[in-house]
Amino acid sequence: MQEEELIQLLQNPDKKDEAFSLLVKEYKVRLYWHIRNFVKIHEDADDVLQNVFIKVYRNIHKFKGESKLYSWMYRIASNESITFLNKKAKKLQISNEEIQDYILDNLQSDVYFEGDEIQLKLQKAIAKLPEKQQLVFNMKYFQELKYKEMSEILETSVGALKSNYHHAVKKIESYLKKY
Amino acid sequence: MKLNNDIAKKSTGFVIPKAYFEIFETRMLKKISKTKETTQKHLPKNTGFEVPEAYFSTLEKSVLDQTVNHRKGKVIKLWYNRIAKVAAILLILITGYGILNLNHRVTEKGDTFSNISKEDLELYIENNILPYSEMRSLLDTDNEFDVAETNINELNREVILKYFDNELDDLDLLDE
Repeated sequence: MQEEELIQLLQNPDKKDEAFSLLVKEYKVRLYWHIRNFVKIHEDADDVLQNVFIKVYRNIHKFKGESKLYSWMYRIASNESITFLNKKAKKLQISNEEIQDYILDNLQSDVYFEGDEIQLKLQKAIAKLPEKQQLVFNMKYFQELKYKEMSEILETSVGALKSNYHHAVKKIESYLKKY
Repeated sequence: MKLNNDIAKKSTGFVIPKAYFEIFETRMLKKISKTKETTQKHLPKNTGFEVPEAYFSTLEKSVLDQTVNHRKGKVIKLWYNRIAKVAAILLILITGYGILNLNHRVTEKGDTFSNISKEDLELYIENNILPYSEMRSLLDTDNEFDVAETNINELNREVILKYFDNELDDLDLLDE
């Protein structure tokens, strides 16, 4: 089904529920990994993902089609992930920067993390990046999105994204050599 | 040719984990891709993050329960809400009508404030409300004793002098 057709169905009260079911089926995996790369822990990713879908369901009538549907949903997912981590940091009474270290320190004992030493090191290196560079690196490297798609989602020019990614890779390489 | 099920039925005493063959393919492919990635790339493409078994199939139900099905469930709630709203409006109307009716009856009897004369009001205030100075002296507890004492002394002197002035004619009685 074409995206335009799906949007029309989603905005039609009689067809909304049926179309929403299709939407969940289509995007659940992609959005899950986008969120998981950011929040790291499965239970947290699950919470955020469900919130994202609930928000999409409640606000679909506000979607004006100025961007692609998936960009809109990715944007909601990015914002929700950042908000979630900030809230978690506040709850633990630590800074927004410290929360990433806190999560990674507990990652080895997570039953849903089966990464080896180099994978853990890579995650630690990503955690040291600024928020925006983390998003760009995860989207480009792990999710293999195109710059054009990323540009729509993050509302940033392709040039700026390339620069962000370049800086992120350099910083990660430097971290891995150091530790 | 024997089917997989037939082989399984031949009892050897060996057992396999539940749903082992269903997830075997997925696990195998994942393992292969993992090996390929770690050998081919400088950095691991795989994050190492795992997802619980059958997570994505249960996720769909969970999301739909909180959105589509939740909304359907709420239809009854809205219906109840509507009844509550109607009941509240009726209650307000009945109470409003009652108040208006009572006011109307009171007006007919002529017991409203507008019918009380100025003289009656002044008389009421005079008889029932203490003067400001008296109220102040009662409230001012720190000086209560002194003030009361002074007033009593002054009153006594005045009363005594007045008494003598008025009753001067009767002083003769004292002489007697």
